[in-house]
Amino acid sequence: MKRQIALLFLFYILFIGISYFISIQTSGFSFEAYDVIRQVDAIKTSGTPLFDDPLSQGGRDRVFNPIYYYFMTALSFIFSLDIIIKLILPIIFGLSIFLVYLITKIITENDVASIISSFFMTFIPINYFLILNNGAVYNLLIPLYLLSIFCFLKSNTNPKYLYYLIISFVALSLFHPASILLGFSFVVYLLLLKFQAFKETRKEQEVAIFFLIFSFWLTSILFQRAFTTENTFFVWQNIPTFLLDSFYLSDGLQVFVFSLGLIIIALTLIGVYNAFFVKRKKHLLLIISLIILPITLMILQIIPLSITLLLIAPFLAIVSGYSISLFLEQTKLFKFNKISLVSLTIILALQIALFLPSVPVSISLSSQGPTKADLDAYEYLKNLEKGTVWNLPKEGFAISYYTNKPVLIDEDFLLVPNINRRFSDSYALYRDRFLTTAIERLIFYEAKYILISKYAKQYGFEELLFADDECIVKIYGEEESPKIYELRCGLSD
Amino acid sequence: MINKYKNYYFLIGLLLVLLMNISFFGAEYYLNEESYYHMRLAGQNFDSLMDRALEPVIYYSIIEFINPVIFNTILSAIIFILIWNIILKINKDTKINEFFILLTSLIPSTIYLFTRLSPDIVGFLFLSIGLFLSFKNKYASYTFLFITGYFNIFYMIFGFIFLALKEKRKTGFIFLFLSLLIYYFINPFLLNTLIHPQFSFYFTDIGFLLGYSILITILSIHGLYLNWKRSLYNSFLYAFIILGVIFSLFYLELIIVMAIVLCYFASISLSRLYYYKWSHETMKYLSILMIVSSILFLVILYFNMSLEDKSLKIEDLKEIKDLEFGTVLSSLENGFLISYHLNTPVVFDSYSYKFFKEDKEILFYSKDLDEVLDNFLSNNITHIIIDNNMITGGIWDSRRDGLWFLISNTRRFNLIHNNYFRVYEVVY
Repeated sequence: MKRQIALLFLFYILFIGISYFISIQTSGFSFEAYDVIRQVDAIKTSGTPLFDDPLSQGGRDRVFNPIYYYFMTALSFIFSLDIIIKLILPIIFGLSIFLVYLITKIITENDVASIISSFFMTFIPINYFLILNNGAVYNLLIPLYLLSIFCFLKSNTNPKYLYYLIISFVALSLFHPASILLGFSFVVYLLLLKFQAFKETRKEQEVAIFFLIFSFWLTSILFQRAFTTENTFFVWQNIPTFLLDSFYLSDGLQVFVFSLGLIIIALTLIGVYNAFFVKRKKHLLLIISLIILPITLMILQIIPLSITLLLIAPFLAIVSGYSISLFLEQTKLFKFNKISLVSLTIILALQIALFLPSVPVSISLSSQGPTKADLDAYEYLKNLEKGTVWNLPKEGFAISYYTNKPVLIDEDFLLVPNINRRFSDSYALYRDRFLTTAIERLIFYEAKYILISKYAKQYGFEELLFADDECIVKIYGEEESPKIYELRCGLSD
Repeated sequence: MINKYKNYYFLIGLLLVLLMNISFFGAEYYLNEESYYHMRLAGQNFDSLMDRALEPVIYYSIIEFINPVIFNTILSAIIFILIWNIILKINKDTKINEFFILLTSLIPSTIYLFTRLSPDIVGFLFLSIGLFLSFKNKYASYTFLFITGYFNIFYMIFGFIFLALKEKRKTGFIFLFLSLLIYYFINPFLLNTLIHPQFSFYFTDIGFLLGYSILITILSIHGLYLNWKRSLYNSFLYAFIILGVIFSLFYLELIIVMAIVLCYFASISLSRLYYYKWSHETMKYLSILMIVSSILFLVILYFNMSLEDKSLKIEDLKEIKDLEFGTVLSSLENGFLISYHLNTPVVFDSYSYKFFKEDKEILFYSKDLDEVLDNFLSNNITHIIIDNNMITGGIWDSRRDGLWFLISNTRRFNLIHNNYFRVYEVVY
């Protein structure tokens, strides 16, 4: 037992170490983190987050679960935001490694298989792609998700865990509306139980009903404005059609394999096949339903591919652990202990070999934030007189944070009217050739400044073709550095 | 006989329906937009109404003499009593019926029906009488369903098909065919609307998001499952739902009928959740508490939504009431409000969606000033009333679009009022 605990802690420290190493490759944060930082600042000064955000998309009302921002604010009284985002959040996310171990232990009753699944959880590349350096709520969401499942499974032997289940689920729902997924996963689980002719207990039905009712209740209260204004588009969070299309990437399979690892996918398929056709296992069906639902929703373009991968990754690790336990049982039966040891070593080595190429990708993803040159441009913008800044969606939060000026667009699309048009216009202006069209766009959105940052240069936006010395004047930037233009005329001029 | 009305929950439900109606006295902001249309028609003289083929003239004549709110309150109460009687015929389980009656009186779909001043409520009354009588196996039910067609042809078709399915006889279909034939002779254009199904109806304010809420939909699915499992006698209710889903594509108000049936299934689920012992009682009480609070929240949200913006609109319209208007061009949503408060004809209102689709290109999106002015002159349009929704995607996306471009860039449109609404006078 001691050896297992030691191994688990080793994985945990490895995870934190790698995450921290990736995060400190850049001194700043990625673009998304600046929304969290602004919310924390707002709570510290006014006591409430920015429900009425004067800088987002020209100034507007926003809807979101505020609890996560309060949680971050509470932490910020103890640690600096730099430490929270780069170190504390990975420490919290890392707890998933223990939870994966505990859940696999309940399902397989095999220590070695459980340790291996927590090893997989440590080295799944997607865990390093999406949560580092951006202060994402998923750092808390995934451990709470797993904790709810663990409490549910544990409640079979100890009814006291039902109380913990309620607490963990309520916490999960308060942090993110993704808790609805858990409710629906239980419905899928009940259906799978029916198909597999398992006797469903009343407890499973009750948990499913409670999860659904609670998550819908909370979501309908917090997001009632989005419900009434966006109608059914609320489900798609008003995400622009162009981005929705990219949810279902043409090279989706490659991303799938690269983000999860071929070994884990193969072992999961073996585990799922066994659970359905060879050795029926009731609890494993719950884990499988937690994989099936996000994938189905991704195919329906309701949740993005990246989030789907993040949500299913721990459960793939658990099912892989189950496959390993089956393999160990088989080899034990035929007394092939040495072969099993060698095979396991090869599997683990392969997983590490598949993980290593993902580290540079993680570094580049987590460093996708404003550069030093961008920060200088922001500083210049900050000192200019009032006016909306024309920007690309990704950099919106960072510009608002540093310049304290309204931006044309950011990545929170909910409740924004005509989002498709705004989104396409944000790119179209940089390609405009004629002054009249460009001025019309600028006037329509009441924008005064146009920023071409280092990030915008990645899209090939180097100069504004319609800029001149009278109407659209370059006020900042040389050859390679970011550029700022100012609108100094109207259509009548 | 009297005992069935002594039920405590039934009396609360009835009281709620009456209270909701009475609260509308003098509260003009709370009225549904269509109510303004029907109130305006009631104000017209009898002869001009007779020109409108098959419009329920009787209704307008009555609300001209009796206060429309009192009339609506009486009809709502009768309908509510009829629904109670129908549910007592379908189901003997008091626990389910009690939940059903509370849900029915509280969901926005039924509040919309009971509190909207329109001839639809009379149609619904006759439909309820027809369905109620069908449980007594009386041919009188066919007579009432036939009369329903006078107020609302869709209610009649729905009622006849339902009876045919319930009684498993062809009589319903024969009566339906004969009735449709008669109505066709009275008004051949009446059935044209049958070929324009609209999926978007499900998502309106009386649809599943707000009208009966996602939570009640989930509960009703659970109730359906329980009902199916028990193989209960009232399997014809499934026909109700299937017909409701199909007919709601053609006629929005039939969603209300479907919502009432969904409430029945939701109440089966609720009674199961409430009366059965759960393996974990905290979970049970939390779930019940959330259901109750979400239904109350739904009602408040519905009233808030009705009030939102409308008070600003009405106050602004009152300011320009004294100006002289010819025909006014505005959006579909503003049509009824403008025609009622300014007492002037409008080009478009919510009932002219079909014409809107055909004419909007010429009236709203043409950039040819001469063509636009010619069209305005032929339609006698003297004013254009624009609100913020119209210029931020409702009609136009930018100042470059159609009429909005002409208004901003020519001198043929004088801005005479600029508040919630911008009123432009057309200069010919």
